[in-house]
Amino acid sequence: MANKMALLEIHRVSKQFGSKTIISSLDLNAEEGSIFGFLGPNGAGKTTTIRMIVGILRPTEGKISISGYDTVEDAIQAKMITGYIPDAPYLYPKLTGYEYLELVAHLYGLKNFKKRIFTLAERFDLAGSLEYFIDSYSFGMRQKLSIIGAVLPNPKLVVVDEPLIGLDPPAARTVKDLFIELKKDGVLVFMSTHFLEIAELLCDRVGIIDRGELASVGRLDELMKNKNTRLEEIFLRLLAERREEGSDERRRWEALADAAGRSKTC
Amino acid sequence: MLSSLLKAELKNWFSFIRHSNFEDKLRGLLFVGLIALFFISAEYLSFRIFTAFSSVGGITLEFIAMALTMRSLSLFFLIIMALLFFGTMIAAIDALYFDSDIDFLASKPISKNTVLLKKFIQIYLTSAWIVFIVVPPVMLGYSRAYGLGYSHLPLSILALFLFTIPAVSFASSLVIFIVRFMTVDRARESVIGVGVVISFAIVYLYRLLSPTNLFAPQRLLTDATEYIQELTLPLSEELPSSMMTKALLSASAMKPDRYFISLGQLLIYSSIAFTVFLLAGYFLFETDRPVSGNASSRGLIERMVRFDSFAKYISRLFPQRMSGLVYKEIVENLRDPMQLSHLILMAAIVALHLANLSELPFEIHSSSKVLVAFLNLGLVGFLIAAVSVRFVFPAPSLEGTSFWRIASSPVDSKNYVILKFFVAAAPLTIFSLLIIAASNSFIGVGMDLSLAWCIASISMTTAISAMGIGIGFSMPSFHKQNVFEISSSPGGIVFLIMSLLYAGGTILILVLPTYDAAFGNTSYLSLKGITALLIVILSSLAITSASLKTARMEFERFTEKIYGL
Ligand SMILES: Nc1ncnc2c1ncn2[C@@H]1O[C@H](COP(=O)(O)OP(=O)(O)OP(=O)(O)O)[C@@H](O)[C@H]1O
Ligand SMILES: [Mg+2]
Repeated sequence: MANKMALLEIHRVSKQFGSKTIISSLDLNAEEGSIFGFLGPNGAGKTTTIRMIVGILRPTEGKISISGYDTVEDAIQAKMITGYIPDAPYLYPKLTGYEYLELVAHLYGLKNFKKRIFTLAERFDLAGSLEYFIDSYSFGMRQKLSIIGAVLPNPKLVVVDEPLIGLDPPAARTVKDLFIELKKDGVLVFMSTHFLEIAELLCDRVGIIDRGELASVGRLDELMKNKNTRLEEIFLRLLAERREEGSDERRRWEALADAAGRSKTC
Repeated sequence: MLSSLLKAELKNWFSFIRHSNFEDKLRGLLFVGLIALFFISAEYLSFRIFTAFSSVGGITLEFIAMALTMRSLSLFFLIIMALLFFGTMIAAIDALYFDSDIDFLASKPISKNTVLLKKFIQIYLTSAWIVFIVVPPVMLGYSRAYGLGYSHLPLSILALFLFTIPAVSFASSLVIFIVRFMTVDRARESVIGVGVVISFAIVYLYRLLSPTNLFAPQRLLTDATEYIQELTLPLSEELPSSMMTKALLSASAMKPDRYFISLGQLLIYSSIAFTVFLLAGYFLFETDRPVSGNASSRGLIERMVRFDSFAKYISRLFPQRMSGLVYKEIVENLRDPMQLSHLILMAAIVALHLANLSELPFEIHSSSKVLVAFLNLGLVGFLIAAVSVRFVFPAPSLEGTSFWRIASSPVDSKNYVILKFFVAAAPLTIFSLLIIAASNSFIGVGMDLSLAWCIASISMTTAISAMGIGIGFSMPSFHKQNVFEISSSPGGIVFLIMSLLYAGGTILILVLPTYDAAFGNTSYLSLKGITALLIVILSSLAITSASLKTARMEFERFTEKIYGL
């Protein structure tokens, strides 16, 4: 494990919107052939970080590199090996599903992609809808199309913002299997999620971000073994400890952590 | 209830102004400046036109001047009315059936009438405001030309307000009526049908009014009685456009009795129209509307014309990495019924223009030919600006929430900007060259002039498309319902005015050599002519490269604008 390369390196990254600091001095590495879970409460800065990784936003300070390519300086090379699934699948409504995937294939310079498109679409039960306009798709269908578009160009890094929102059980299963397959093929899957059970099930390492700062990062099995508890409780307790001593918020979060510790199911 | 809804809308608007930073305020200032500039130029232009009219026929035949003025004003208001009707249909479909607040309003305990009123005000504001920017300078120019003073302006503006109500009400009612019988998507398509009908109606009325005859006062010498009869022929008295004309004329002539008659007519008209809207809304408007019937169904037009193979063919001319984007750009534009209907409207206007040129009587002096052809060049410049504000300027904004796809793909910003520019400039250039070539051959001007003006029109299309892309990237407006709203956003107005000024400037540069060619009987390709052309080409190149550079810089910041503040 230790000799695996750090495919994604986030080095002291900060991001400000106007005078508001959203991310401060974030340091994070993730290696190829693994699944990294990026967790944190609402508004913690997950989406912002992810947008910086895929080159949509620029870090105000610091550097991000993918396989050695700087996301700002060598943007094209970095993007060439990255697939991105955003938190909301805004696609081009006036294209058909197939035309959208064809566009992606062309953008990444793929050759002979037709068969691969249909194989992937079949896996997600979307093959029959590929000829329809995207504006006739349901939310889940769009999400599926966006996932297929992300993995179509055989990226080395797949960045996912909330992968399972809106998906039906078969599709959710397919996504989980897909991620495990990608990992076996040496791909790094970097995903943010609020479903801690999914993180428990899939992730090798997790990072927890809170108010734009990294609160904790480490191998999942180590985190779980040390405390011998469920991830939900660990997560809640960690956040509670970061709240001000004696504050209402802290007391509330501690109570939630206790409750999570007592309950056996979610 | 209604007032709280409107207050929320207004607050939204003002917070946009308050929370803008210094740079935005600067842009706002630029915006106001440009509007002022437009106002002044439009006032001056109409002043010149009305002055020319008032001198026709001399003092003895004053009524001819009056008839000319009345004719042209009626025509002007008629065209405004037709365009307002068409624009309102588009605005109404979106405000009534696609607006994001529809579901919100439908889920609240609000009476249907309140919803309808709110929607009417919204539709009115989004479609009629342009009338209040375009018409007042013409009124001012008219008043100055006839030395009428400006005290009648409030009365004339009041009439203008009543004049806009029927078009907006009837167009909205028609939309509600259409949607009742088909899905909203089909209704959007039928707007195209209305566009075509309106274009033909304009053509027909134009023919009926035959403005070319109006501008031939030399006929006074040959068949004076017929000419005078033609001028004073009553024209569609029952349309609000002629009521508006009369209201303006009598208000400015200080004839209150006649003014109030016209105003009364307009008022009756407006009340009927508004009642029709309320009735249509009350009985036919439903918020749970079927947006598109069958998921797989393509539009009627899409089924008739296979755009995809055309787009495929064009996209193959590009390197593979870019070809996908070319395809997307073309197909997205052509599959949007709104865009398509505008295209058809423009085509109809051009056809009308060419048809009129082909019928001009040219037994007259050859210098008039040159002047008419030159006016035509100016018109083409104007047309290109008008087309680009619909098709070029909105392109960057339309990416909006889907921009993540391009921003996270390995696309070079330079290639992307050039591609957007190319997709805009190529059809515009072909379009304007065709008009120039066709009309010059109809008019029968020499090769030298044709060549010079083809070069001038290529320079104009290039620079104007580049400006559209540049301003489109620097002053985008996201979260808009349709192209119509994007082109009437501050950025769209800045672009429209800047491109009009640029086209005007280009024409001005060419005036001197054209004058020489017309009256000096020299070739256009003299030292003066070539210098003027060179200035035109160089200024076009400078504007094009500056605009594309701006676009590229703004491209880098584009996602920050979408996702950041
Ligand atoms: N465009 C913006 N302008 C200003 N602040 C923003 C903007 N977008 C996000 N923020 C702020 O940045 C912070 C982080 O937002 P982000 O979307 O990254 O959170 P997140 O961790 O993805 O949250 P969620 O779990 O709800 O998706 C939030 O406090 C949010 O208010
Ligand atoms: Mg998020």
